[in-house]
Amino acid sequence: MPKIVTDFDKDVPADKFVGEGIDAFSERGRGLMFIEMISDVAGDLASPGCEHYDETLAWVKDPINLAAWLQIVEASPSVVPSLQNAFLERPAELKLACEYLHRSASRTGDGLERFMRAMGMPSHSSGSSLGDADAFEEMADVYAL
Amino acid sequence: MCSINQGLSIAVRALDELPADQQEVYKARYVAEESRELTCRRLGIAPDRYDQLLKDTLRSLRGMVAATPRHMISA
Repeated sequence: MPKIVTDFDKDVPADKFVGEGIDAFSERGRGLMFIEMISDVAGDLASPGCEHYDETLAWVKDPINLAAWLQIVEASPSVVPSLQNAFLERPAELKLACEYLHRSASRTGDGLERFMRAMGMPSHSSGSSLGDADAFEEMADVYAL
Repeated sequence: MCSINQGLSIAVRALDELPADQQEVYKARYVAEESRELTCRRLGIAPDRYDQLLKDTLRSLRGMVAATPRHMISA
């Protein structure tokens, strides 16, 4: 398990950044990676007793992390249809994941907002679409940033 | 360097920087889009092991995002 690093001021060698090679990933592959990433995060956050809860919460609380991950979607507009198809296959899981993340990522700008709208999901400002609203009110308290 | 998309950069870096066992699952799932069953057969691993490697991989990706310096993201 890699340690979550929060020191963003340190220098990283330029060769650690890769600008080529993304063509190896299909749109569907990128979409699936994004979906599973947020589902995995949501899974940890839904289990306060799990061993990874604290570090996952710390990761989500830093808006830079989520904003960076959203770029996978935003880098290619045609990823969205792939995500929509995947969303139809696993609607409950993804809706839950996005709701959790949206609650906790108010400072990520509108990237996640756009993603949720593209998925046909109501934004936070227009109300939750989930039946278990109480659970999310509780989570909102936990995520008070 | 300023134009590099960080999220995509992480996805590509993962091809080289993930631990070898996680990298196998990462490539199979997201690049080759190979089914879980086929990957398990090809690598000779149990489905439970595959699931654990996938979970470890996703956590490694989180760590790689978090380890990226803020000034490179906003540049």
